[in-house]
Parts: sequence; structure tokens; C-alpha cells
Amino acid sequence: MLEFTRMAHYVALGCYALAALLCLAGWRAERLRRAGVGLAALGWVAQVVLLAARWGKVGYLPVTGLFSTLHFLAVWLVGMALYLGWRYRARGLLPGALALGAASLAGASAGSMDLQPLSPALDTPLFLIHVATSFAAYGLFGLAALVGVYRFAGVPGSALGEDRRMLDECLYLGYLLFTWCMVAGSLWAYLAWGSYWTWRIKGLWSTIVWFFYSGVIHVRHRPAWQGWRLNALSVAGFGLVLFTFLGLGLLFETSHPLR
Amino acid sequence: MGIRRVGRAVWDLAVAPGAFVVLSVLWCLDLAVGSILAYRADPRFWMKMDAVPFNVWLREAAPAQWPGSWWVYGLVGLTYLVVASLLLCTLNWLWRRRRGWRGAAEVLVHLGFLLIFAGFVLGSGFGARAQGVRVAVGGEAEVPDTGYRLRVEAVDTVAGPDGRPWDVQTRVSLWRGGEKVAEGDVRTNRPLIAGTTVVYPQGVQTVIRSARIATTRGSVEVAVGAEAEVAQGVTVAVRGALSPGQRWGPYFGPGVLVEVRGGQGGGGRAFLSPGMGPVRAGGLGLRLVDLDLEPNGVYNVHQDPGVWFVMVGAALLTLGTLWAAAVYFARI
Repeated sequence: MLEFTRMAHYVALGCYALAALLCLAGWRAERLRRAGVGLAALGWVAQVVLLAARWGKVGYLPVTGLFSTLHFLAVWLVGMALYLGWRYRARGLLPGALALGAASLAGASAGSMDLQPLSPALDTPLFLIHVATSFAAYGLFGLAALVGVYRFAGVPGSALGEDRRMLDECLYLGYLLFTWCMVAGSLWAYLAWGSYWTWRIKGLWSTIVWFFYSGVIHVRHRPAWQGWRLNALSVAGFGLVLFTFLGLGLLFETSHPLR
Repeated sequence: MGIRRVGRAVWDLAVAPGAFVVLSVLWCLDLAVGSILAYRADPRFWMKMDAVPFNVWLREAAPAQWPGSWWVYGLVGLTYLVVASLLLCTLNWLWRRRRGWRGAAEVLVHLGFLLIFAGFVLGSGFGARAQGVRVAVGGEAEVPDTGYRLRVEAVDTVAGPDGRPWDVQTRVSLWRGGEKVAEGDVRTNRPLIAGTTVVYPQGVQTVIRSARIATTRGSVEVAVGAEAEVAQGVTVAVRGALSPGQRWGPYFGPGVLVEVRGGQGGGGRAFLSPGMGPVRAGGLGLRLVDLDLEPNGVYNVHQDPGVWFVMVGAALLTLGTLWAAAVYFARI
């Protein structure tokens, strides 16, 4: 299993890195861009097969530890980018999204590829809902930040001129998913620790992220908050997400099971 | 006329999404800065907050930690303002129904959040938390502040998929006024929920009840915390015990800390553990013969009268977001 994991991991990483370059070079060359999209899809399939194989092997969604969580983040990020690429012809967005996916997988290389036994505290269906929705939301928030950066730079992400709509979709769906993540997490905490709310740093910062995006959702259609303000909010929001996901675990001792 | 105009302006400001956003950002900043400062001051800060209902902590611990607790007071004030803004915004929508039923999903989300907040306030004000309630298997103990007695009927191990011991399960029951209120098997992720009371297991600890000690003047059985006479005027006391796996300074459990009084040396102390050779203290040779071990279930018992508000609120929040997602996908 370890050999297969290593192989699929580096196949996906190589595919994303090469696809990012091809998509970048294919900005004006359609054949290169198509090859890049094909390669990105291949990398994504390799990741999904790897995830399914590891899931089948241990009998639970393997998303504990640095390697697995960053892989899961990349699956959502690239999957959503491919979906937006298909839906909004977001050709410009793909190089950035693939670069983020490759960076995520490169970071995952530093973690252990071993499959650890699931601790009893994680042995609940709420774990699956909590983790899947949180990483799906993270992926969408990451893409929203990317669209924000593109809009800052004046570079079109969508060939149909739908950058604003893509930003809205990523923020709105990301917020809905993150709300489900918070509800599932609270219910899980109630069943696992006897309290739906605990004063722990990971939970507090997750609430900060939820409150922040609640604010963004409320202003995203307000005329005064269009343009650079909304772009800045989407970039700052992903900064908060990254700090909550990675920064807290590095800087603080946290009792959260997915530190 | 002027008062009406001012009132209108205040109302418009109160129900404006912009007001909610500004308050939310301030709320985030307060919590972000405060959480980091609190952690740096004391990494166990959160555990202490979780040990009691929030109102109790706010009343008793927060003043003692001033000025380190400034951000919690700020957070409480901002939370009430955020909730007031949300409540007024929701009332405004219900009153005017400006967008017909299309905006109902958002209102469900707002109502869900308000109910969760109401539940939290109720639980903080009228709830109780008992942490680390220790009950011997076959015995019972009073749960402080709840009016319940907790009884542990049996302890068992749960096997994992590979057949190895995976978790510990205990059969517990809650009693009030001599009547059994609830009973069930508890383990990780499977607490006993009886109305608004949750019994959550922290684990099973083996506790030392007594130690049989052989001395050069005779053999005695001494309970932890008690003393026994081994000869005229010479006593052996067990001052403390370390359960298996526990550590205290250079000593590892299982073992007992023994004090000898009235011996030739005038007295002395020694730590005895199984398998250890004889040691001398207070002019006596001492050796641990046997330990009487007893398994104890350790539990957290939380009583939260607001929990059903929170559950209904969470259900509304989920329903509202599902509705919002359905409307969104129907539109595209």
C-alpha cells in the first residue's frame, strides 16, 4: 500500500505541476491548454483512486495527518477548478489552481504516508461529514481567493467574463458547506465530549472563519463592497483558513483530532 | 417629527447588514487577539474555561484574571450586539417581507443562529458541569450540582476490527431520589444522554485501595491515606499512591508512598512498588507484598438546559442552508 501511495502521490504531483505549466503556456495556444487540462484530470483521477484505495484498506475516510489532509484539500481544490473550468470556461484560473494543488501535494510530501488506526473519538459518521464539507469549503475559499487575486491583477480567469460570478459561487457555496461542517463538528463534539461548544483554539478560530465569511456573504452584493474590497475579503478569508488549518497546529498545542 | 426621523435612522442602522458586518469583524478581531494572548499567558486557559458553565467562569474566574480576561468581556458585549443586530434584521424581514418567500432560507439561518445563542445563554446561566467524577465499578457517587447519583454497573473492553482491545465501555445508570432515571453503555462517541444531562466517559483508571507491606517488625495491610501499627509505638502510613501509568517526580506507578513513625531512626519515608527489593525507612526494612487494585470509571457530567434550543437551532441552520443551496442550484 505504501508503494502504491507513494507512486500515486508523485504521479498526481507531477501531473499538477506539469499541467500548471502547460495551462500557463497554453494561455494563447489551445493545444497546450487542452493537454494541460487532460493532465490535470489524470492527476485528479490518480488522487481519487488513491483516496478510494486507502479508504477501502482502512475502512474509514483517511483524512488524519498532514499527508492525508493536504491530499484531500488538493482533491477538492483541483476538482472544483476543473468544474469551474468546464462551467465558466475558466481557462485563466486553471494554472493558479493547479499550482495551489501542486503546492498542497508538495507540502503533503513532508507528512507520513502511513495509514494510522482510527482513534475511537473519530469513529463516527459525523467525522466524514465534518471533514468532507470542511475541505470542500476550504477548496472553494481557496479558489475564491485565487479569483480575487486575478481580479486584483486585472487578469481574466474566465473566458466568458464570468469572474465576478465565479467569485460569488465560490464564496456562497463555500459558506454553505462550511456551515454544515460547523454543525456536524458541534454535534460530534456533543456526542464525543458532552458539549457542543468547547473553548479550544481550533474551534474558536473555526468560528472566526465562519463569522468572517458570514460577514462576506452579507456584503457581497452591496455596491459599496464591490471591486477591490470584495477581492481583498476573499484573499484575507483564505489567509484565515490557512492559518486555522495549518498555522494553529504549528504554533499551538491543540487537542483537535485533525491538528 | 425630529424624533421620528432619528428613530427611523437608528432603526435603519440597526437592521443594516453593514452594521452586522462591522460588528462581526470586531468580534473576529477580539476573539483572534484574545485567544492568542490567553494561550500565551496560560496554555491551560481553555481547559479551565471548559470545566465550568460559562457564566460561572465569567463570575468567578474572569475578575481574578483581569486584565488578561478583557477580551472575554469584549466578546460577550460584541456577541450581544451581533445577536441584537441579527434579531432586528430578522424582525425587519418578517415585518416587511420585502423579498417574499425567496429570502426565507436566509431567515431560517438567522433564526437557527438566534436559537443556538439562546440555548448557549440558558446553558451558561442554569447549567452545571462536573468534571472527572470518579466511581468504582459496582459503586456509586454523587454528581455535584446536578442532583444525580451516578452508578457504574460493569466495565468491559470493546474489540476493534482486528480483534484487539479498542476502547473501554462501562455500563452506567443515573439515579435521582432513589429512582433510576437512565441507564446505558457509554464509551467514546456514545455518551449516556438523559434529557439535558450527558454522562461522558473519560476512561477507566485503576486505583490503589490498600497495600500489604512486609516490615522487619511484621506485616500490615494499610489503606491509602490510613496508618497501621506494626509494633508498640511504631506505625506505617500510606501517604499517597500512584496508579499504573501515573508519574510523580522520579516515581512511577503503581506504587505507594509510605511513612514510618516511631521507629529507631525517628521516622522516614520511602516509595514502594511491586518487584522492588526491601528498602529502609525510619529504622525499618520495608517491602511491598501486594496492592489491592480497583477499577474506577471517570466521567464528565454536563447538565445543559439550553441544549434542545441549540439542537433545534442547528436543525434550522442546516435546513436554511440546504434550502439556500437548492434555490441557488435551481437558479443556475
